[in-house]
Amino acid sequence: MSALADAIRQGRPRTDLGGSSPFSGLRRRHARTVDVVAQSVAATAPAGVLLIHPGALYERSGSFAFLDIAITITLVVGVALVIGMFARRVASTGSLYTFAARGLGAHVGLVAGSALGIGYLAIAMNTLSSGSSRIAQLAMGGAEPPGWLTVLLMLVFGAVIAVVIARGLRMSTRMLLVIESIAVLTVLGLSIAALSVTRWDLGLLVPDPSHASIDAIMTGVAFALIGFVGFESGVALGPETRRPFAAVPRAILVSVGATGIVMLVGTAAQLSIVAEQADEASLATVTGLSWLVDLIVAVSFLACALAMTNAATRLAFAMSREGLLPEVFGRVSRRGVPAIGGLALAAFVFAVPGLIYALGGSRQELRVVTSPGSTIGFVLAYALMCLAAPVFLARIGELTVRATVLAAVPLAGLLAVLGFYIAATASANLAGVLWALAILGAVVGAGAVRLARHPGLAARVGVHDWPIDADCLDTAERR
Amino acid sequence: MSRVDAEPGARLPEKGLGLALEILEQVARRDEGSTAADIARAVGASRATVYRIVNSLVRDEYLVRRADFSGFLLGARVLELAAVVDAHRRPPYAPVVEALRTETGEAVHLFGFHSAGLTILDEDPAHPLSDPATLLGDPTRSAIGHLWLIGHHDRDAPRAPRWRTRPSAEDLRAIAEAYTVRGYTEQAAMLAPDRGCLAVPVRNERAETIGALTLSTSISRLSVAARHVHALRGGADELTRLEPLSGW
Repeated sequence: MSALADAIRQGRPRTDLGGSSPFSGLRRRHARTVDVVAQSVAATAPAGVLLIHPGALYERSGSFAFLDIAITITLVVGVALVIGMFARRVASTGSLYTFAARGLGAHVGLVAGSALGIGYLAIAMNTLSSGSSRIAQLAMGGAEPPGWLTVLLMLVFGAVIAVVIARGLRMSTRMLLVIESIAVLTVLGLSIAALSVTRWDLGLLVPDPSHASIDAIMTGVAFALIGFVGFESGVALGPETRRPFAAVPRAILVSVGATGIVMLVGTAAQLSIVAEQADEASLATVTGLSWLVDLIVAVSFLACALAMTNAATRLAFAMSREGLLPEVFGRVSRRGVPAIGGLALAAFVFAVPGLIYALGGSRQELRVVTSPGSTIGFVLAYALMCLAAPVFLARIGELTVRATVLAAVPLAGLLAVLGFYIAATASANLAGVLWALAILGAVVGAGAVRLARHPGLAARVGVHDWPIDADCLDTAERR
Repeated sequence: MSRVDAEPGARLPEKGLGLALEILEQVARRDEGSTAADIARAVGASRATVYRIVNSLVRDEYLVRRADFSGFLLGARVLELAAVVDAHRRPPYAPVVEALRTETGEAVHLFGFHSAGLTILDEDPAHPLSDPATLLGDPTRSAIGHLWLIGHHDRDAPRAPRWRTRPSAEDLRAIAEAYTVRGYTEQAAMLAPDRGCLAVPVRNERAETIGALTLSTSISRLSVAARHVHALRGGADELTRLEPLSGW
């Protein structure tokens, strides 16, 4: 009798792997591919990005704006393929942090995880305050809203985010899906309407060689890339997803593909408007529906804040289960959700911009730090993951030439983008870059101290949803 | 798997399901867990092919990676392959039924009973059932159906075919009385105009009827076919002694 047939006939679960996973308590294996897509797409917030970015991108890169978007999409697809290499093998709420730690060890993992966490929280703060102040402005009928109103709305939306996260994963992802779908469809509708008004003038999509400069293109790509970050956040839902090794890689590629197409179409529309009316170029002025445009941006950004906080909660959950973060972030509610961690992070996402407003500051002061913080955080985390991929594959004996090339190409692109971005931003906003790097350094330093104080901790970094007794079949030979 | 059994040195085709099953077999053999490279060496396929198949087996949860990624374990989902394993296994009743076919030279079938109808366990490949739909739908039209009506059946088989007609009390009494006289049941031309059939019960150790052996032949030979009833009863007794029958 063959060993396989024997094992099947015995049909006994194993007894040597332990009865609970490091993520025990978390509600496992109930979400579906669509939930992962919803999380990733909402974190990308294509509708909001589309309505704000193309004009700003044109200011930066001139006629290379469309090319920038195309290059960025290529880069993002490259990163998504590397994510796939890990996501086919590892399911963890720590997502890219766990991946980097698995390949390059606890300390490099710590850098990647801190960078990613800072990225999530920075974008969440940005989008929460931006969405709230836009709604406040709409409520004031277009006048500059008072600071207290914006803070009040941030408090309300922050509370909504906390409640939705605590209610459970599928509640938040399904809400995100509906909101973002409506927003994207409206933006695409507006874009097509605008293109008809401007008689489909696509002249600006063709790069003008006189604008060509590697600097302009690279900073343009860095700027466009920030419009895509968050697409990886669905990876954090792996342990909560059914058949994660199939669903997560597929969902990430679907998210990137869908967002990419929407961005290309929307950007083309916006740029053609810029060509038509160079001085007052926006969908809002062309269609005369500026309130609708503002509303879509606000809603899309608030959904983004929810998705980013959701992702940060999952990241903190993994770090807490390893012992890096306090135990409270790893506690699960009756519904199997890290609810208290979500509440704490939502409170933090509200508190920082709230404090800045309270001290008489505005959204701009916040963005001085959060904007470089998020770009550096995400690009660094992506780059470290790309570096970790071939090392990880070699360690488990599955490295191929194809995988090495697939990881090296986006790595080179990301490092170039990061270098150009830091160089360009250092001259325009040196304080912001230094603040962002200082915060990253402080977080990594605190983590490193904790790793040094607790010798067993480093070995535990990189926990994932590994198999337990009930997941496996015992083989006859062992008895 | 059965081919691995039968010819230990033989290789399955180097792709698709064959290779996937051989990879599962390799994992089952090595408990300490083998890496993808070990598996590739053991099955003699290219590493790229094995990585691809291993990852698709992991994706579908037939294989599970160890926590430290040092090797693979059989996933619980492999249990769903039980049907494949059993398809390759010759059921223990097969030799008994085949011996009866050789001895009588007629079509011999084996059926299992469950609470709501019949299950075909072993259909004679040389003489297939003439009208299985009617046979499985109406207990009054077949010898085997008559046996079912007489016996007591509490075995549950949720996905098995169910009777579509209910006989009257009078039919039932007639069937039972005929069985008491003969000790077996008989049917002529009720399923196919030129065929007839007789059936003897198969019982478990507690003497409950759990199935039946049937012999079908042409109408003209039905009467003399009664001489095979003794052989059929012998076969039914042998089946009683086979322990795995309870697994129907």
